[in-house]
Amino acid sequence: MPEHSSPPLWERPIRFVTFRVEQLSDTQFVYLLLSPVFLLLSIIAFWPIVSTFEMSLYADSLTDPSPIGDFVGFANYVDLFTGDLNALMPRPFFSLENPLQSALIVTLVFTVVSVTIETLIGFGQALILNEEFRGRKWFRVILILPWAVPIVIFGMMFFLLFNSTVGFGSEILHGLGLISTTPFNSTQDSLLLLIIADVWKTTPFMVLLILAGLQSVDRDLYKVAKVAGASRWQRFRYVTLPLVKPILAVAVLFRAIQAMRVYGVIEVMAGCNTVPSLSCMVVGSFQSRYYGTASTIAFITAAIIGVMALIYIWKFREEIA
Amino acid sequence: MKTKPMTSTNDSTEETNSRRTIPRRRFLGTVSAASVGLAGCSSSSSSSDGGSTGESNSTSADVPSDKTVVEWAIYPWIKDSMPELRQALWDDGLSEDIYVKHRNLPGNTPGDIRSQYQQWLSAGRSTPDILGADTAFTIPFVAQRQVANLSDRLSNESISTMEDNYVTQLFPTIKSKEGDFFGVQFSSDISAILYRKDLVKEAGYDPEEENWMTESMSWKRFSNVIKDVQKQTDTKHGFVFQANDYEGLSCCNFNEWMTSHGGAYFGGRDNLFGPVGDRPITVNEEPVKNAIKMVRTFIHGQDDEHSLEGYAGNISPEQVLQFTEESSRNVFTNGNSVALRAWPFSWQKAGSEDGFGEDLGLMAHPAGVPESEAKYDGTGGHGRSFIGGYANLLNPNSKNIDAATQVLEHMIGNVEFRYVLLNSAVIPPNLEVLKSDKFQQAPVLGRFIDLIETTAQRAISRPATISWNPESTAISNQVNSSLGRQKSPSKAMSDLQTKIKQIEDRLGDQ
Repeated sequence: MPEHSSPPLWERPIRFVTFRVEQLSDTQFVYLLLSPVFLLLSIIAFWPIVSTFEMSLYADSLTDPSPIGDFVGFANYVDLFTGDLNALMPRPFFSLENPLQSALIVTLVFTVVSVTIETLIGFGQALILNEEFRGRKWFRVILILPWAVPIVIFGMMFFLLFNSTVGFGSEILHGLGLISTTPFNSTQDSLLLLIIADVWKTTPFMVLLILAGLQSVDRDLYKVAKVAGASRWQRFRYVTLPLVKPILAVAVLFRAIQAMRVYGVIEVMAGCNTVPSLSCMVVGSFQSRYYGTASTIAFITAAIIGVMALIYIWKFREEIA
Repeated sequence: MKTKPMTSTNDSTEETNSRRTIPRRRFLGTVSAASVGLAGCSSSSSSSDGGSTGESNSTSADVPSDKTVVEWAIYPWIKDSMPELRQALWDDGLSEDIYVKHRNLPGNTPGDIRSQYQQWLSAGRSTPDILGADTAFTIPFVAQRQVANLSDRLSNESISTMEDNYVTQLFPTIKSKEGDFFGVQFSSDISAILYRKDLVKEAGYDPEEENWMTESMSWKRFSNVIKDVQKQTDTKHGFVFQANDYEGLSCCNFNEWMTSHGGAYFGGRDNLFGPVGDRPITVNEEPVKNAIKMVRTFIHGQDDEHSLEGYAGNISPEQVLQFTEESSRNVFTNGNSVALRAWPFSWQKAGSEDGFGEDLGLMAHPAGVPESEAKYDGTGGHGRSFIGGYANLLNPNSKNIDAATQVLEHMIGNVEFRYVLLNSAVIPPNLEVLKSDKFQQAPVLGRFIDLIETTAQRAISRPATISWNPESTAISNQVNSSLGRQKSPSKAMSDLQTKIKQIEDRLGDQ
């Protein structure tokens, strides 16, 4: 019998760790592997949110060399909703008297309208692309092109298109009675143009996600439904829609989160003074060194997005599990 | 017992293991090796970065490596004059070991530049060493002590030169409440009306005879003259200006129209620089509304329900509501407008041989009401241009702060330096130097020195206090929306009055 030699001293901790890892259940092993990600997330995502919240509890420092003012608790949140902070901002945060001048309402209107239109058009296009036809591959490539255009470039394209000096777009829409001759001077007109621009750019994103969902539907189900006498609408209503719903919800959630943070295209096309969004207000107040106000609006925006994500998780908890 | 064998008596585990293509041991080994590799790459890349880190500016071929480089952020168009400006500084006694390097302003609008400076100063960035800043936004930097106190650094002689010779309207924007200088005034920006002398003469007018340059005329006559010239010469537009929703409307264009009509933001010149929260707000008064009505008439004509009687209409395109400096200048230089409201930079461009040359005429701002009828002192009458300008601020985080201070010291009272700048369309803060023959004979701007001297004395500055930033935004919002016929002048000015009151109340105790 060969003598069992004990491992060298330096190898012992490694053997111990390896042994412990092999003892873990599958679930524990998965969590072990995910732990660096959780750690990283807590540093790069959770910590800034906590830090932003902390800063939102301090007043703005307007004349003092220190960038942060006195501790004021939740006063910034109260002032924001009661309108007391509006004085320092180009547009009110929330105002029912002038809904299209208020950042919260403008952002929500932009989000709801643009995401709804994008979802409807995206669904329609995805249904078409899900069918077999000649040149489908090329059609898909062409369709994705707007999504690939950088925000500043597409913002500038639409600005030039609807600019009253050089563009022809404003004349057409003005002729239809939809906008004035100088649309970028009006919040209402600019918001409409922003939604048109956003639909143009972002619909392909919806198409791609919904198409992925459609292609995961088992084709046999349609055959069974057809044999059972289901009409085209019934096949869509009772086969396609329920099976695509979870991925549709993910697509809508992603788009809604993006839309809630809209900033770049506004800055390029109409300017934050004309179309106030939540992100515009954060950037504007941050640049003016109103750090308390900027943090408060940023935290509220993050909270709204967080609530949207929670609703999704709650609504689709079974599919997620 | 040694390690547990991979095969387990537990069925489910066995099944799971059979699905795994990589055993955990090998997986851990692979991941560890990959991590070590990545760490190696990362370390090597960072060391490589570290090796190449350094001021890209200092490796630039045109900057001598043996000199102390002072970076100066200022107007982009004076970059070409930097060799002459450096020489003027050296000739004035600045050590030749100090090399002033030009850097473009970090943005196209005062707002962009202010934001960038705010971030740089908050972050403790060491360059640019000297920050050229619009006097619109120097006050917060001074109040928050984000820039260096120059009274502690400059010689008494330089401080006296500024106190005694520089235009005083802008002192409140570069001095602290205690009277210390935090900036060296760099330019005096005033505006004027540029017009096509050839077209005006073709239509039968004689600007020289009537001395339009310094005596100007009323806005009413101006609109009728321009309309007539536009019609007779078949020019596309009559008069273009900058009415976009931006700082240039609140500080300048609207301020000028309002002042020429005898109106004021805060009840006259005495309250321009405070006390914030304890001064009358007078934007809802008749002269101010008349200024808006006048410009609405220019744009929308007499059909506008808020037009002013006797003024010629439809001389300005609706696009002026989106125009800033460059867009309006392009219309004029392309020959599509008889007149333009613009800064010295445009005078220089349009008056050069590449532009209209001697066919360019300049006129002091027309009068809304005679001075005797104006409600507030120092308002009404002609020549009510805005006066502003840039100041040079010293970056307190500069690594070359002493050298940068020396540069500022030798800019003050340096006549040759000012002459080079005048030829780059920068009007000096010391207007006395303009009286010399050399300046009077300067190409292009030398022709307009009478206008500069008369207008600078009558010009109005913006109320650049700690509250100006939000007030400026509110003013441009309301004025632009009223000019665009989204609000009546009364409604817009009433809303503006409320908003400014809120701002003053909030910032009044700061």
